[in-house]
Amino acid sequence: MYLSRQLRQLPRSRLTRHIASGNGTHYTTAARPAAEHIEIPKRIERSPTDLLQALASTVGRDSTAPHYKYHDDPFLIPMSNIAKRTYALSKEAGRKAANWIKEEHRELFMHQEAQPPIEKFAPSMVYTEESEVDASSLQLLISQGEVTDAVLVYNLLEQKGIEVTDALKQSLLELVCFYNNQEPLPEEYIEERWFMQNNRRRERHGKTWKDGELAEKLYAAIEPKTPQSYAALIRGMAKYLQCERAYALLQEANEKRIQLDTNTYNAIIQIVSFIKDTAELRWQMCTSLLNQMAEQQLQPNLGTLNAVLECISTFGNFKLARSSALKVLPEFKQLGVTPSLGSYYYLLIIFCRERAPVSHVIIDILNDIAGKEFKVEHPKDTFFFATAMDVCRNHLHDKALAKRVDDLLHTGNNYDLIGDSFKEGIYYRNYLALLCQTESIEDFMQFYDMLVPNIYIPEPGIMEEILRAIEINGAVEHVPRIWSDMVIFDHTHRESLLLYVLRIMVDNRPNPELPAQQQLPKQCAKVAMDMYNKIEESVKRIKKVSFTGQMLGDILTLLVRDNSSFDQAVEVFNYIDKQQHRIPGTPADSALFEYIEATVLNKSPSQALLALQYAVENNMETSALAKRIHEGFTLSEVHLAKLKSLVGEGFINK
Amino acid sequence: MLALRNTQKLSIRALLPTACKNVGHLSYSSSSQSKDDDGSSSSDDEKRTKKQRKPEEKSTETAAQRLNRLLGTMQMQTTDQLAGTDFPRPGDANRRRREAIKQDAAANNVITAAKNIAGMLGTNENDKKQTESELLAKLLGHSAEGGSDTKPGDDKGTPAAAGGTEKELNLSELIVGMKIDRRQQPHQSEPTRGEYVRRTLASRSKPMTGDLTSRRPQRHVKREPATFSGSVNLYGGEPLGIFTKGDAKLQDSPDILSTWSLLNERELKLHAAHPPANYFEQMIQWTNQGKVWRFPIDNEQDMQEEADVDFSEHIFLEQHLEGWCPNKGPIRHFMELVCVGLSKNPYVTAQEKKDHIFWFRDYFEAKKDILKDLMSKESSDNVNKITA
Repeated sequence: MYLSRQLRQLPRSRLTRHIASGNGTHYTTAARPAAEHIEIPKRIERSPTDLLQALASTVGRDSTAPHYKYHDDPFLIPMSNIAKRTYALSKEAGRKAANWIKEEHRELFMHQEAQPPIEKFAPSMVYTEESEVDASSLQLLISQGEVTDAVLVYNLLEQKGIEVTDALKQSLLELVCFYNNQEPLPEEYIEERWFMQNNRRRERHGKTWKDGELAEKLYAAIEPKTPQSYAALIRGMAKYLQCERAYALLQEANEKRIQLDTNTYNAIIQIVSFIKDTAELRWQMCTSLLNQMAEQQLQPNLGTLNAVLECISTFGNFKLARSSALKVLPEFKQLGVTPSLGSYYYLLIIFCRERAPVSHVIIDILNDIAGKEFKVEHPKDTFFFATAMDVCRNHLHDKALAKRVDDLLHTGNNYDLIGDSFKEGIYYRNYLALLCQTESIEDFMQFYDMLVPNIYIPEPGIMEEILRAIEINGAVEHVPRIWSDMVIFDHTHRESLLLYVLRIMVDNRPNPELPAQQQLPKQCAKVAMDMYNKIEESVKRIKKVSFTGQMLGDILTLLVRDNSSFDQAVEVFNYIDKQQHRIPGTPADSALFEYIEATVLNKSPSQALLALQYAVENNMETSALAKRIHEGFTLSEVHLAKLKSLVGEGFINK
Repeated sequence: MLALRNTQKLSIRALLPTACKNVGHLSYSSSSQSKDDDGSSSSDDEKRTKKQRKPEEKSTETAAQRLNRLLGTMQMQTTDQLAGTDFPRPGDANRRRREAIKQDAAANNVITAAKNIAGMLGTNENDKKQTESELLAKLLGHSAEGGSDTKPGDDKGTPAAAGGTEKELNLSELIVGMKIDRRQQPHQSEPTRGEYVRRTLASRSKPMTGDLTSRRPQRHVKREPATFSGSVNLYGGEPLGIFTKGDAKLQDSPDILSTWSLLNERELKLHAAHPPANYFEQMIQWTNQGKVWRFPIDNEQDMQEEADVDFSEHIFLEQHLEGWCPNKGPIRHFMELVCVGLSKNPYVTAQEKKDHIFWFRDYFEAKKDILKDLMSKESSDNVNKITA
């Protein structure tokens, strides 16, 4: 009975406990969310390219691989500067040709493959004299920045007597002023822009503004004159260096008490150096313009800072330039204007001049900006890195600084500001030249391996610097590697470089005891033979290199130093012997001597006698040669007789 | 201090030729000694060693140049380091080993001679050691050269050739020398840096006009340029004072030319543009040029006029039949088929579908009479058929 009661109670107690515990767990799970409030983050609006940019940032630059634009066809990967340029531009030319076909045969491309449709693939609108146009199409063209079409449509509208609003005229005026009524290079030809800027260095030299053309007509058509119309024309004239008229227009606007804006003043400050001649006058005008801005309560911006610095950088008077730059900087610092890389570029060219005392301003600049990321804010921002490296190399000659500049370049997206291929070339040229002058040859070769050939290909001048570094360090073991690079980079038609390579190899006889140099005699002989063949081939080329006696002698020396290439040495010597009337100069005496040594080793007395005969005919020092031949061989009668006939009997008595 | 050391170094260099004369016979004896050693071996061996020595002498020649260069390139902090101390360079150990063998006999003499000279020159212990090691470094180079020059005349070709290259080497040495001179400029200006700092400190406390007047007379002093080197305090100077005057209230000046600023922004972007470096960048470029669909891929993108239209208005088109279409009969049947067809057509907008339906409405309205005629005729025909 008792048991049965107990039994009956057992499950109940258990059950209650279970419920209790169940309640307990229930409470805990219920309590937790109350304590930890889950906050669902707001959706972040992403632009269409954000995801792609995040992905792209995970892909670093692989210095062992060619640039992305070159790797489509491994067989054709370009290996010299000229080939790189040709390849990239041909690729873009292909794109241009395709575009031309698309425009020329527009009837073939009327179908829409994509749904939703992609506007870019549809044939573009063509505007002709007969087109039906209205103000909205003009608006569209202006927003697309199509200068010629916009002008055409505007003229059509005028002919048809359709009223164009002043706002639209103003927009068109700005467009025409910005591009000086010239069609700009289409945006998508990125390679052309990348390689083109080389020839744009001259752009700042002369006035290119088109006087009395459309821009000024448009300006005249806007009545009454607004600040905007003044600003547009002033900026256009300033941009295309119609300086006097731009300044006159500014004065006119001031007389009429028309309030202009900061950017227009910036444009005028930029061209002060074209209006005034001496540094003092320029500085005077600059400050008076700034005073005008202050009177009109215009807040200066980064453009103002850079324009003032640009004006200062044209001062011939170093001290005035320096002191005024040091006054401008704190002023803008107080105004809260953060300098861009362009500002630092101007500082560098203000402080580090060829004919001025050495300035370490770049250290202070780097202390200021190291580790920062920059975005392009001013057109001159892209000049900073090339100039900074130039200062590091030519002005201060400081390796550590150069490395700091390089670190800055590889911070974040700063590499975008390298500019174009030309500036990138200057940058690496200076960097590599500086490193090869200051680093030990082993460390330098590490840098060389990293940069060459995918990031940078040395120009012949830099190659000479590298060879000089090798010569100074006596690091002849690097010569075969450098030579193969020279062949790839197409430097083999530079006589000075060839001579340099030969001289290094001849002067630094490889030491067979060192394991690194055991293969060297063979490699040097190969290089020499290669060079010999290259020069022989070059006869057919336009830029031909001709042999000199010295060069051939060096080649000969290198060939005889490698035991296995005696036959080739004989071939080269026979060439010297046969062509002796064409080749200017003779091989060095030491070259002939080493050659005779080799003939002794290879037991070919007739070759030795040929060499001696050559020496005699060319009026060279012969007694040592004759003596060596006499000692080295047991000569037959015929040979002995020849020897005697060449140098007489005197040598035996010595 | 620095200048003093420089002059001392110079004087040592000037003394070197005489020192060489003094030790000349020593170096000669060393070379003859080594030649004797060679002479004991076979003649072929002698040739080989001569051959080996030739590049060797050149390498020591360049080594001497390297020393000169390094002396020049040394930073001013390292000037207290001994000029003659060893700098690690490739092939050094090897060269030293060979030199050591050769010098065994002569080295002691040379060292004692150098010590004597150093004793004559130096005043304190440190200087003595320095000059001694400097001299030794020079002499070791010279002894090798001297040895080659005094070799018997039977191979005159070698020294001549060596001389030829030597000349060219000296030329490069000369260029390097130029660099040394230029780089020494900051060293010389070093003492005046303190002066410069003091002046900038002073100018900071002074008002701007005072600063200008204080600087102007100095502009004509000849030594002035030297004071302008070294570190530059970029932001510590006196401000221009045009915008930062207390009463100047500046207002933000947004660009008044909207089109211009747009174009300017585009141009700036192009300045920083570079050819894409990987496929993702290529995609970014294409996206910006509008050649590919934008991420996230959405088949309704660029749908401007239809964006606000609900799908139901595309699909449930029967509602537009209410009010004019009969509830049954062939017209109703026809119009229902039209509605099904339109609801499946993705290429026309909802408004166009509506218009399409209403076109039929108007059509049937216009043809009402004919249709009624036909219908009655047909129905009477049907009746006839049935009755017939």
